[in-house]
Amino acid sequence: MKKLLTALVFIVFCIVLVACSQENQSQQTNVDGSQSNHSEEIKILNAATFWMSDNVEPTTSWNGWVAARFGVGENLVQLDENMDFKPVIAESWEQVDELTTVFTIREGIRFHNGNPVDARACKESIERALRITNREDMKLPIESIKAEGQILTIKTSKITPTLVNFLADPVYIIVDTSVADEEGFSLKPICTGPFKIVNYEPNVGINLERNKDYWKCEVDVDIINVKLIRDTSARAMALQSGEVDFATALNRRDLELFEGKDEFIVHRGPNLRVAFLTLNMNKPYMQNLGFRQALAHGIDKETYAREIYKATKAKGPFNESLSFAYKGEDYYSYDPDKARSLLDREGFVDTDGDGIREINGENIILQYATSSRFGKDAANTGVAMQSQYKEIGIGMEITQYENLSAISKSGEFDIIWDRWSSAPTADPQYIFETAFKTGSPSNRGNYSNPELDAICDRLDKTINKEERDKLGIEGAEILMKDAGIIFLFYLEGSVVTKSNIEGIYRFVSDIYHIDERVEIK
Amino acid sequence: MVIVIFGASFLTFALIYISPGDPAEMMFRAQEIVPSEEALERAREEMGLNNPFIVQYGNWLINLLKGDMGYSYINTGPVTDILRQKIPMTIKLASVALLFLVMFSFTLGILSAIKKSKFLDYAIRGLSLVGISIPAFWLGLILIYLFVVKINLFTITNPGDFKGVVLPGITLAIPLIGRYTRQIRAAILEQLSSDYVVGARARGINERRIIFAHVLPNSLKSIITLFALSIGVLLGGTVIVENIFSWPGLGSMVMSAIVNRDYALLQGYVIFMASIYITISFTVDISIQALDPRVRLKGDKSQ
Repeated sequence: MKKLLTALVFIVFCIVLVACSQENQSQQTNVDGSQSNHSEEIKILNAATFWMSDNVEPTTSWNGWVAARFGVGENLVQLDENMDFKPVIAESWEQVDELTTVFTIREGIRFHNGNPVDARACKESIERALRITNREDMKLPIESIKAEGQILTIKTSKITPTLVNFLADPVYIIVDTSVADEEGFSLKPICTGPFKIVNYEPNVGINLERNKDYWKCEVDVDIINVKLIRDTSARAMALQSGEVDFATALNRRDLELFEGKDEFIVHRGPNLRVAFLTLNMNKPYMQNLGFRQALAHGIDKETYAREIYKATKAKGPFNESLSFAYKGEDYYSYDPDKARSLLDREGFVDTDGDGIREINGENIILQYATSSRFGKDAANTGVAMQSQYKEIGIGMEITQYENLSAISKSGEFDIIWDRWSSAPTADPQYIFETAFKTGSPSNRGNYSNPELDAICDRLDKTINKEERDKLGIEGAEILMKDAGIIFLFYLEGSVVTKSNIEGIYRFVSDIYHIDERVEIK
Repeated sequence: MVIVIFGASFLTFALIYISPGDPAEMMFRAQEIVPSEEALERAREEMGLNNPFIVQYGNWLINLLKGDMGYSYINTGPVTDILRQKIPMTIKLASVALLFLVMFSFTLGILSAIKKSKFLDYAIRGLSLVGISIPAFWLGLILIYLFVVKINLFTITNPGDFKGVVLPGITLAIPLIGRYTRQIRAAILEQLSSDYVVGARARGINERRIIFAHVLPNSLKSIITLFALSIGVLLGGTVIVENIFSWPGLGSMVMSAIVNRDYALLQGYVIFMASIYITISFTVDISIQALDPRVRLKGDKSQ
C-alpha cells in the first residue's frame, strides 16, 4: 500500500514538473509570437547593468548616475563621449566676468509630466541640489542664481573655474522641483531625458519608456528593460543567450567571445579610472627618493598591463585621450639593474647574504595592502611585484583588507593598491585635491609635496582652459617624478551590443550608456 | 525562545560594536563619498553612535518591542520594508532547492543502498562526491552556460518566473544532494543490517515493503535533524548563488550590511534567523515524535 502511495507521489511530482515546464514553454511561445507580430510597432531593448542604486534621487550619492546612464535625466551642460562639453538644456553659456556665468535655456523643453522648463525651473532644481545633496565633493560656492525668462545667471562667491564642469555632474540633473516632494519621486524622478522611468525596482531592474515629447528628436526605441546582473560572466552569458541586447563592463576575457563576431558590436577603450600604488610616506625609508625610484624601476608595468589587465600602461594619473594628460616618456621604466644600483647607492644593502636587503640589520619586507573589493587583479599585481622585488632584494607580503580606510589610518602598510576616477569633471583639479594634495581626504599614503600644492592653488585661480590643461600636465609630471604615487594602468570600459542596436557610444566618463541616439534596426 | 533571540541579538550587536571601522564613515564610503569631519560628526549624532554601547542597544531593543526595527542607511529605508521584500524571494528559492533536494537525495540514496556495492551504487557515490566538491560559483556558471547559452531552456534573470528559479535552485541543491544521498544511504544500510529486517525477511515479507514501510521511517529520524539545519542555511540566503543569478535575496543583503556596518539591518536579519532556527527545531521535535512513537511513549511515562 505504502509502496503504491510513494510511487503515486513520485508520479504526481513528475507530472507537475512537466506540466509546469510545458505551461511555461507555451507561454513563452505566446510572448515570442506576440513580440514578433508587434515588432514593427513596439521596439524593446533589453539591457544588463552591473550596478543599481536604491533609488534615483540624483542629489543623493551617486544615484544620479543611474538616471544619466539610461537617458532619464539631463543637465544644463553635459560631457559627451569624448569628454567635451555639449549644450543640453542650456543652449549656450557665457562667462561674463570672473564670478558670473550666464546660461540661455533652450525654448520648448518640457519635463516628463508636461511642465515647461524655463530658467526658474532650472534655478530651483540647482538650488535644491545644493541644499540637499550629501556629495560634499560636489558642493559649489554659489552666491546667487537669477532667473529671467530663459536666462539663468549664476554668481559664485569666489572664482570657480570648474563651475560648468560641476554643473555637468549627475548631481545637478534638472528635475521638476514642483513635484519633488511627492511620494515616489525618488523612484521616478521627473526630468527631461528621452526616456522616463515606469518602474524602478532596487536590486532587480528598471523599466523605461520613450518620452514621446522629447525636445530634441523622435526617439526610436519604445521600451528599455534594464536588468541588474552583478556577476560579469553571467552578464556575458545573458548577452550570448539573447536575454539582453546590451551589456556594459564585461570581463576583458569575456570580451573575446564577442569581438569579431557579426552578431555583436564591441566598444572598448580606457575610461577615467586609474589604478595606482600609494606609498606610505610616514615610513622613514619611503621618504628617500632613491628608494622610491628603485621601487618604481623594479616593476614591469607594461607586462602587468598586458598580462594581468589587458589594459593600457599608465604614466601619469590621466589617460592620453584627455587634453591635460602627460604624453611624454615615462619617468621610471622597468630596469632592475638601475633599481639595484639605486638601492646600493642609498645604502640599502644585503649584509647577511639571504638575498634580502636590510635597514638597520632588519630585512626589508614591504607590506602590500589592497581591498577585496578590487578583486583578484589587485592581488595578482601584488604577486607579480613580489617576485620582481625579490630580484632587486626586497621582500613583500600581500594582504587583502575589507576596507582600506581603516588600514590607511592605522599606518600599518607600505604600499596600497588603489583605484580612482581621475577626472570625473573633465578637469585635472579633482584628483589632485581629493587624493594627492597635502592633507586631502583620500590621501592614503599621507603624500605631501609643496610643488603639487602650489599647482592646486594656481588651479584655484586659473580660468583659461589651456592654462588649466598645462597645469594638469605639470602636476602629473611632478607626481611621476617624485614617485610617491606609482601609476599602473588606465582601466578599460566596455559596451557590447547586438549588431542590430545602433547609436550606442562608449563614454570615456562611464556616466552615460544610452541616450536619444539609440536605434533598433 | 525570547531569551535565545535576545542573546543572539545582543551578541551580534556587541560583535559589530567592537569590530574596527566607524559606521558613519563606512556609510559615506559605501557611497564612495569622501566625507568632511563635520558631515561625519553630524552623521554619528543622527545615527546615535555617540551614545554608549548599552544605550545604543537599549534604544534598539525598545524600538523593536514597538515593532520598529530601525532604519537601514545602506538601503535607505526601514528595515522591516527591506526584510519584507527579501524574505519571500529567499523562501521561494529555498523551497525550490529543497524540492530538488528531497526528490533526488531520497531516490539516489535509496537506490544506492539497495544496490550496495554494485555498479549503480558506485556511480551514485561517485557523482555525489563530485556534487559535494563542486564550488557553487563554478557550478552556477556552468549551468547557465549549458541551459541558457547552449540550449536556451531557462533564463538567468527573472526571479518572478518559473524559468528563472530552476537554475539557482539546482545550483543550491546539488552540493546538498551529494551530501544527503550519502547520509541516507548510510542510514538505510545501518537499518538494513538490524535484527528486525532480518526477522522481516525471514517471515518472507516483500523487500520493497521492508524498505519503504520499515527501514525508511526508521532511518528518517537521524536524517531529519540534519535536514532541518540545511533548511535554516538555505533560508539564510546564499551570497554566491544570489550574485550569479541576480537573485534579490537575504544573502547579498546581509553581506553588504556586514561590510558597511549597517547595525539595524544586520540586527533585523539576526532576529529573523534566530526565529527561523527556533521554529525549525521546534518542528523537528514534533515531527520526530510523530515518526517515532517510542519518543512519545517515554514522554508519557515521565509525566
